[in-house]
Amino acid sequence: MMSMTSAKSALGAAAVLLALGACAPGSSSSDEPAADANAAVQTGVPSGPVELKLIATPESGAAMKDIIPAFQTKHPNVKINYVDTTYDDYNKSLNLALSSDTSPDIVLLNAVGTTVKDQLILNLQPYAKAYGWESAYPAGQLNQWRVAKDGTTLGSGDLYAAPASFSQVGLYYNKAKLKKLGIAAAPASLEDLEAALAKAKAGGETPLQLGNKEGHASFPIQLIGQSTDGPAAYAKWVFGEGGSTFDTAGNAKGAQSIADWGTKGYYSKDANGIDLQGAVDKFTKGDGVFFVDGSWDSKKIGDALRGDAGFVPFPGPKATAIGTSVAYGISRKSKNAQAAAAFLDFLRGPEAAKASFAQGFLPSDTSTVTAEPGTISADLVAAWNKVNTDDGLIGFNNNATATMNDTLVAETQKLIAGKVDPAAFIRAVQADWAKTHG
Amino acid sequence: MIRSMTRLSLLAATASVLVPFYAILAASLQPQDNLSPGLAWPSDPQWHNYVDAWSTGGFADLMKSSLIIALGVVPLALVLATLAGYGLAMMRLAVRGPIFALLMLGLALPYESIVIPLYYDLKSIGLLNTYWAVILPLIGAFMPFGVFWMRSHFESLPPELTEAAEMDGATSRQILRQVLLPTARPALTTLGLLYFMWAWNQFLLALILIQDPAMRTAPSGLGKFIQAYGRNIPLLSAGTIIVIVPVVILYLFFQRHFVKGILSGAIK
Amino acid sequence: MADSLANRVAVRDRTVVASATPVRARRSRLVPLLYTAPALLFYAAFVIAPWLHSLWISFWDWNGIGVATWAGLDNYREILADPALRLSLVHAFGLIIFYSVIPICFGLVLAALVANVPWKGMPFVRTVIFLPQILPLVAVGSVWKLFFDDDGPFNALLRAVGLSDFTRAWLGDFTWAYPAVGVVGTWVSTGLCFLLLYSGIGKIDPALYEAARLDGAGAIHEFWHVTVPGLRREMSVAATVTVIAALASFDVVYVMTAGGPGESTLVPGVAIYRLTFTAGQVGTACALAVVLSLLTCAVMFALNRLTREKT
Repeated sequence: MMSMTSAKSALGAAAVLLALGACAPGSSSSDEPAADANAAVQTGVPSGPVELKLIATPESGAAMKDIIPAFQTKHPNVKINYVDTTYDDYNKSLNLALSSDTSPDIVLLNAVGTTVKDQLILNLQPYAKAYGWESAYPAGQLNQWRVAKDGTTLGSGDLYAAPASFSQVGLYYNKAKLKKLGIAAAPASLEDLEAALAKAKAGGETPLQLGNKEGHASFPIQLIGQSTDGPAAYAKWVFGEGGSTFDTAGNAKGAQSIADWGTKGYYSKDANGIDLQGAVDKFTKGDGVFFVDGSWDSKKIGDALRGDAGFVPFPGPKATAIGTSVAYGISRKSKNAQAAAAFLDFLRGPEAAKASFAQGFLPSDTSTVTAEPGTISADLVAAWNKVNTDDGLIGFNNNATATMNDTLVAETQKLIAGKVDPAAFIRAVQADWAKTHG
Repeated sequence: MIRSMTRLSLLAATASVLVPFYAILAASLQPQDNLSPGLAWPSDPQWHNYVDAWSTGGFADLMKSSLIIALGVVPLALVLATLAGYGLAMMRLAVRGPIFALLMLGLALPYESIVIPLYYDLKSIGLLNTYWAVILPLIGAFMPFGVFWMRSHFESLPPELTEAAEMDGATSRQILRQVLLPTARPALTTLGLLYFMWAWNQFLLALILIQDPAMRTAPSGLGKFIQAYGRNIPLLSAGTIIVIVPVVILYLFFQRHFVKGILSGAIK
Repeated sequence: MADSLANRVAVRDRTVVASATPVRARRSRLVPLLYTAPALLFYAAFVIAPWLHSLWISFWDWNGIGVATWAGLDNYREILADPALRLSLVHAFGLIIFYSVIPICFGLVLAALVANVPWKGMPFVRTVIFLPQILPLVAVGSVWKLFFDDDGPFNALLRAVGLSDFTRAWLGDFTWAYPAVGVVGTWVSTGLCFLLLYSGIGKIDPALYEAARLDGAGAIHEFWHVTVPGLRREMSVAATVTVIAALASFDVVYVMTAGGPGESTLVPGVAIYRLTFTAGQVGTACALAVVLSLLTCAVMFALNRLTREKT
C-alpha cells in the first residue's frame, strides 16, 4: 500500500515542515517580571462602568448568586458575569483559560498548582497590605495561599488568593442509628470509632458509607494520618516543603485501617464503583452509620436526615480537619484588577459570610452567623471552632501536586481492592510528590 | 430446525441491541428521586424529565452548536471531496501514488494524535473557542474518506460518458459540471449524510478546542451533563435520549444511504 | 474487475488523444492536480501539519504554557518506563478482541446461518442491528454506564433471575470493569461486521457451494472451505475498521470509567487527555499520541499484507 517513493516523499515533506516550525513550543510566552510585592495599589472601586468575569465550580460558587447581586447593589457601575463548570472540567481548563486572551478576571482557585510558577495570577500582597487582610484573617487561614519565590512551595511568601469561606471534612453520623445500636455519643477517639464500627457491623448496619469512585477513601486516610502525626508536621508535606515524606506512622496507620476495615466488611465491597454523590444519597437513605465527607454536602444531608444528622471533627488526640478555603485569585491579564480586588475584599464582609454559610461553607469569623441549636449547622460551627482552637485545619493531600488527585484516586482504589498493600500505596503517593517537590 | 435456530439467533442479536435502549428509556421516565431504576416500566411515566433535562443540560444551545458545526462542515467538505475525487480519478501523474498513501494514512490516524497541537495552533491564530476551531479540522480530517468515496464513484462510471464530451473539446470543468455531477447525486447524498452525522457526533475535538460549554456539540455537552448530574439517573437518561434522537431520526429516514455508505465506504 | 478494465481502456484512449496535441495535454495532465489541491491543502493544514507538530512537541519537556526545554527521547523513554502508560497501550490492543475478533466471529456465524434462509423480518433486523454504528459514542457510553451501575438494570436483571450473588458495581471492579467496557465495543461493532459479511456472502460464486455439495460436504465443511475463504476480503475490511476503532477508543472509556478503577481501563486516549490537561506533561502526551498512531499504522499495514498475500 505504501510504496518506497511515497515513504520518501512523506519524509521529505516532514523535514520541510519541521524546519519551518523549528522553534521551542511556548517560547513566545511573556517573560515580564512578576509584580512587585510592594507595588502601590489603590483600594475601592474605580468610577466608570466596569465588567468583570468570574469563573468557579457549581459547588464552591453556589453562594455567588447571592454575593454578586449584593456587591452590584453597592457598586452599580460594576457588572460581574458568573460562569461555572464542573470540578473536573474546571481544573483541566483553568490554566488554559488564564493564559488565553479572553482570560476571566476573578478565578476560583482549588489549588495553587502551577498558576504562580507560570505567572498566571496576580500577586495580591499589595492588596493584602492595603486592605489589611493579614490582620483580618488568622495567619493559618492565609498560609495555604502564600507561595514562596520558587513558585511551588506553599505556606510562606506572598499572598496569591483571598479566602471567601471555608470547608471542612469531618465525620457525619446518623444519630438514630447510634441510638439503636446503643452507642451513647459520637466517638472521641479512633478506638471509640473502631469499636462503634464493629458494633454497627454486628448490628447489621453498614458501618461506614464510602464511595471511592473518585478516590474519597483518601479522606479517612489523611484524617487518621494527620491526627496521628500532628497537624503541624503533617502540613509540611501538603505544602510541598522539601525533604517531607508521605511515609509517616500516621499515613501507615491510615492506609492500614482503611484496608482492614474493608476486610472486616465495614464498608460496601462496591465502594470503588460508587461516587461521592452516590454515597451521599445512600447515607441520607439510611445506608451507613458513619460517613466521612466535607461540609459542602451538609445542606443535602441535613435536609434529608433532619435531626438525625450529626457532624464532629474526625476523632483523634487533637481535633483536626481537612479543609481549604474557597479562595479567589485575580488573573494577571485582568484589566480591572482594582475592581476585582475590591470584590475580593467584599468576600470577607457579613453579606458574603451569610450567603456562604447558607451553602454549608464556614466564614472565617463564625460570630457573624447564627445556627439553630441541634441542627447540622450548629454541629459544623462547633466543629469548626474546635478545629481552629487546636490549629488543626490542613489542606487536601489531593492538592499537593497537579497529578496528586489522579494518583490518589487510582491508588486508593487499588488499596481497597487489595491490589496493593499499605506500604506500596504510600510509596506510589510519595513517588508522585517527589516528581514535583523532590 | 435450522430455520428457527437462525431466526432465534437473529432475534437474540436484535434484542441485545434493543435491551439497553429499553432500559434507558424506562429509566428516563422514573421519578427523579429513584436511585435504582430496574427494568420495569414506570407506573407513572414522568415525561417532565425531558423538559428538565432539556433546560438544565442547556440542550437548546448544544443542538444549535452541533447543527452550526455540522452545517459548516458539510457543504465545503462535499465540494472539496468532489473536486479532489474527480482530480484523482483522472490523474495519471506519478504523484498519484504518494497522494494516495498520504490520504490512506489519514484513515488510520487517531484524533488523539492531532488534537493537542491543533489546540495550540488554533490558539495562536485566534480561532480557539470559535466554531471554526472544530469545523476546519473536521473538514481536513474528513478529506480522505470523501476523496476516496467520490473517486470511486467517478471511476465506476462508464468511460463513454466523458469521452464524447472530451471529443467535443469540453474542458474538464464543463465535464465535471455538466456530465459527471448529475450522476453523483446519490453518492453525494450518502457522503453528505455521513459527514453530517460524524460532525454532529464529534466529541473529542469539541471537548478540547471549544472551552465555552454552550458552544460544544451535543455529545460533548452530554459528557459534561454526565459529570454534573451523574446521580440523577432519570434526568441523565433523558439527556442521553435527547442527544441520540436526532441522529436516530435521520438514520431511519435515510437508512439505505447510511448502511450503504458505511459498508461500502469501509471496503475502500 | 470490469471497472478497472474499462478504466485502462479509457487511459489508453486518452494518451492517444494527448499525443496529438502536446501543449494542451501537458496542461491537462496538471489540471487534476489543481482539482485535488484544495482538499489536500485542508488535509495537510489540519491533519498532517498538526501530526508533525505533535511529533515535534514530543521531543520537548513542556507543560503547555511555560517555556519548553529540549528533552530528546526522554518522553518516549517515560512511556516505556511508566507502568500506567505502558498498560494503556496493552489495554488498547486488548480491546481488539472485543472490537474486532468477537464481532467478526459473531458476524461470520450469523451471516452464514442467515444466508441460506430468506426471511421477511430481515429488513427490520438490519435496521436495528446497524443502529449502534450511527450513535454518538458518548451517548453509547452513557447508556452502558447506566446499564452497569451498581443500582442499574443489569444488576436488577441478575437479581430477577436469582443470581443476586453475582451483582456488583461492574465498572468499579478491577476484574470486571475492563470486560464491561470492552463489551460495549462488541455491541457497537457486531452489526457492522455482520452486514459486511452478509453482503459478502451474496457475492460468493454459487457454483462453489454446488461443487462442495456434490462432493458430499456437510454444512460445517462448507462453512470452513467455501464461506470463510470467500469472505477473506470482507473480513480484512471489517478487521481494519474495527481495529482502528479499538486502538483509538476514547469516548466510551472517558464516559464510563475515565480509566478506573486504578488503571484497569486506562487507554491511550484517556492517558493523553490526562497528561495534557491535568499533569501538564504535553511533551509526554504528544509522544504517546505519536506512538499510538505509529502502532495503528503498523497494524493496518500488517492486516493489509496478510490479506494481500493470501489472495
